[in-house]
Amino acid sequence: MRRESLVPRPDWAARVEALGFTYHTHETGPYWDESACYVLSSAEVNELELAGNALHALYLEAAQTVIDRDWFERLGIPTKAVPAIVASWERDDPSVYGRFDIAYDGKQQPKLLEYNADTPTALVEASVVQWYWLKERFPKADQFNSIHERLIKAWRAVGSAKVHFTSMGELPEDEQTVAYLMDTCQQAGFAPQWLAIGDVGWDEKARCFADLRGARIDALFKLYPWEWLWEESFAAEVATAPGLFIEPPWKLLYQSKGMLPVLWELFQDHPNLLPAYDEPSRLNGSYARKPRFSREGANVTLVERGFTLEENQGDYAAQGFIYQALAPMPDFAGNRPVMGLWMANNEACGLGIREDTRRITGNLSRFVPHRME
Amino acid sequence: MKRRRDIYADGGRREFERTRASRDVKIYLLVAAGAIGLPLIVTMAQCSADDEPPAPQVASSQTYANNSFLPGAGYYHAPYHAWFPIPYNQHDARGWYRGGQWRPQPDDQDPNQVSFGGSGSHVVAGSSGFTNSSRPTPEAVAQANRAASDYHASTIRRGGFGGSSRSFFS
Repeated sequence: MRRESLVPRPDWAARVEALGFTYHTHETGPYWDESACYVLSSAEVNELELAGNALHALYLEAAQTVIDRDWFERLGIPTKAVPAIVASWERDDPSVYGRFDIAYDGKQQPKLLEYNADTPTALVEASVVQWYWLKERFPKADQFNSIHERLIKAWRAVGSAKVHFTSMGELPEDEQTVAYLMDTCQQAGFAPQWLAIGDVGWDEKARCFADLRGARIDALFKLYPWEWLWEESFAAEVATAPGLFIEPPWKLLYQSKGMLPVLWELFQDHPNLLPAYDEPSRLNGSYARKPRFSREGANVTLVERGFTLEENQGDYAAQGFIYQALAPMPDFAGNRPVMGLWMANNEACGLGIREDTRRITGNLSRFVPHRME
Repeated sequence: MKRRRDIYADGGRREFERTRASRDVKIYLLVAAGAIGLPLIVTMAQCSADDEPPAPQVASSQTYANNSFLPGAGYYHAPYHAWFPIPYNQHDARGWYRGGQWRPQPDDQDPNQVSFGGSGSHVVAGSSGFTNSSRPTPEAVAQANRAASDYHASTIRRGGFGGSSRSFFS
């Protein structure tokens, strides 16, 4: 695995915008950064793919254990969410996608940092934009990327003729992520419809969620976190409402970083796991402190030998913290990549790499494309 | 044992599907959303659909497809020529719902019989008096129109989701 410097296409912004990808630039510079790319061997991609599928299997076992042993509080999951989570797990409600964040340098085994299982983003750039970049810049090269095809398969497994999609309005990344998922749903042969999250209705007479025309919602894809939904007034209706949520309620088990200590407890010394605990004493003063529920690195603190290396502020601390051993993060001339390993239809299917000069990957990290050789 | 557990019988390797099966990635909605925004696309689509405003009432002179939904009245069961609160042939522990009753067997000619829960849709073979569309009886029309008239938007509450706000996900 190596990082190659490249000269960006002079009209790169217009080219990615033509694909529908408009959130390509931060206030501080490009988010889509094609001034470099990562090059992985086929063997390295194999290793990542196997790690993704292995971690997926571990999560299945761990989630069942959480349910069997009633460890929901350990995961920071509110009691009121438990009946719907368990019911959806027992029904085997389908999941469409998720993204493991992995530390990997091509030398050591891939190590799980966390699982964005509920509302993963950076999907459009991973599935579409870097693919078109590859076709133009390296037309004979390949890429670890069957995300699009796997998403279509995942929708076929959902099997609902009509799927409603919802997200918060006026956020370009959310809108474009949802629009892309609607594309894949449509190509699976189903009819996607969008409505804003605030427009989702509850029909008191029919006892079901309803769209703006009053029609029953059979399947609702929500780019909106379960831990927020559970604090809102319609939460009381989720457990009894007919139809599906995508991602399903049981995905909150996976989304909680409280699963990291559970995984380590159940599968200690697994090569793709880092030691993780509910308290820091067993990590000898060097650890990442992570909120059980947080996004984009918010409220994460890195501590080494008792000294704080780096810290992100945020407002995600309400459900408490877990403590994970520091990962051996690769460093390419000051750039630290995190492998975003995409899962769709329950299988590893693609890679999106974000890098930063900081140690904590956050919302200002850059997306850097990759190719295989 | 849950079905999701069974997928790794081959050891987890799927090399044949690791890279793009097709060179073409169709992204019509994404391109449109990037150009004008998703809500505007949806608004335009709804305006187009609203050029022919949906009839607020039903009529016995019209033909209705099985499971056509009329807010307040429910789902049209074409073989029974009337509206009912539950979709035709819906299945749960009570049986299969048709014509206002739970039946011990599915209508095995209904091509749209769907079961939720991850296994996708399935079609069962056989024979029955199934018809995919029909005209309702005058009595059913009168009853449905009364129910639709009684049905007010106030029966649907909105705003129960979306109150939390943060600007990014993961």
